[in-house]
Amino acid sequence: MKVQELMERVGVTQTGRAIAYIKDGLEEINMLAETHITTSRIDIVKDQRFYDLPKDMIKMLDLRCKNQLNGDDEYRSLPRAVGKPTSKDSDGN
Amino acid sequence: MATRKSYAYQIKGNKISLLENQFGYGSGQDVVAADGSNKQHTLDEIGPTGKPSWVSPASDVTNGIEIEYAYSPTYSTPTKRIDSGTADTYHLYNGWFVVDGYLTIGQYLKDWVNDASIAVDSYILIEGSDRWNGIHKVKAVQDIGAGGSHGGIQTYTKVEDSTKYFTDDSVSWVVVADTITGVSSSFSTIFSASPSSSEYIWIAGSDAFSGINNGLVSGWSYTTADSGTIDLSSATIYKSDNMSEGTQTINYIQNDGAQAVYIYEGFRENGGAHFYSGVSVIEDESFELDLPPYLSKALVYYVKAKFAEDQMDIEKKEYLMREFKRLVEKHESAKISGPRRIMGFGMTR
Repeated sequence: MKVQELMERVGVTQTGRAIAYIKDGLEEINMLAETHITTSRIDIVKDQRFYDLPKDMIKMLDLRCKNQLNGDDEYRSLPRAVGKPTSKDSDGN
Repeated sequence: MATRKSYAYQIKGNKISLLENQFGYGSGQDVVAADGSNKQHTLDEIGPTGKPSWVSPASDVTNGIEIEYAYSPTYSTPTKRIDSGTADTYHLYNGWFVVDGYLTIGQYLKDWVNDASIAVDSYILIEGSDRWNGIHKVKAVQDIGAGGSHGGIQTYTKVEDSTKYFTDDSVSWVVVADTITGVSSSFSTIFSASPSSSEYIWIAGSDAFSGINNGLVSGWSYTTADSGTIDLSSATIYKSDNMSEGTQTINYIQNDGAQAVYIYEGFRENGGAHFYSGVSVIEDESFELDLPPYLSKALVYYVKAKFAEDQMDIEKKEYLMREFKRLVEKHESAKISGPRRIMGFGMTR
């Protein structure tokens, strides 16, 4: 469906506002029902604890690491740690 | 065989906190103590050595983290074309830096100005970056060989981090020694005079040999000789080799005198990252939404609800939002058929 057809169905003529709400709606749909999924890989750096989440991420579905509980270079899901780690990172966090 | 690891994660703001289990044990209880005697063991010898269990990752792993996530389809990706020079739509870049607070990307010896699909106010889609995956709008494009202030693609994406920047209005690149001379000593105040291997700078400003002196560099050093010298004789410059990252270690500098130099703190995309140019983004009525027809109907309800909310017709808004959610849920459940089976650890439950 084109934006124009959607605007006709809604009955509006303000393109800018309609596009803003369409963008909101696409985000909301992906929060509820993940229609568009992708993966991104990041290098692990020795002694670096914090890594940026992808800029275009709306909802994280899985976080996997290479060789997690295996020695076959497989990516496996990570558990989420509860509580604060006793060892601080070098940046003080 | 690769080493088995044990990681866990936490979320801190917009970052992942990655922890590795490094639990260390003592030598355990045996008859002979560490000092060779048969006396009673110390606590260190029979229990944990006292190392913390969860620490920052203990080793480098290329592509070690894989994040699966949902994103909003507000753009359509063009055909991947890498065979035609100026009409290519798929490109590699070596790293990023910050120009006037905006994200800027660059590649060694690459003149982006000639690329038909990279123009001011066009969109690029970055993939494979540690940080910048997604859509970015182009603010400015410079020819790396024209002696410009950055020689890359500056985007409208704001970078909140404070990064380093240095400029000097008259320096010389010297081919014999692979140096830049006449560099103000404030360079070594801003940047390290003898950096670690993971520190990078983006150099711009030279217009010699199509910009051969510019690019992302590591392994420089700074001395006060010749009114301040950046020595690049042992430096590594990062380039593109058939859409993969390549390096060149020495002898790339060419003579270029009395030029301004612009040096930015660089951030290497390890192995290089890629981007599409000529990306179509939702910005007018002709954009084709990449949604199944049924969800397009749900989106109509959503947009109607937002317009109703603007008119403070809350009852109508609530009704339309209910319809929106009902359609999305119906679409989700329509994809599931047949009996369900839970997968357990080697057993059927």
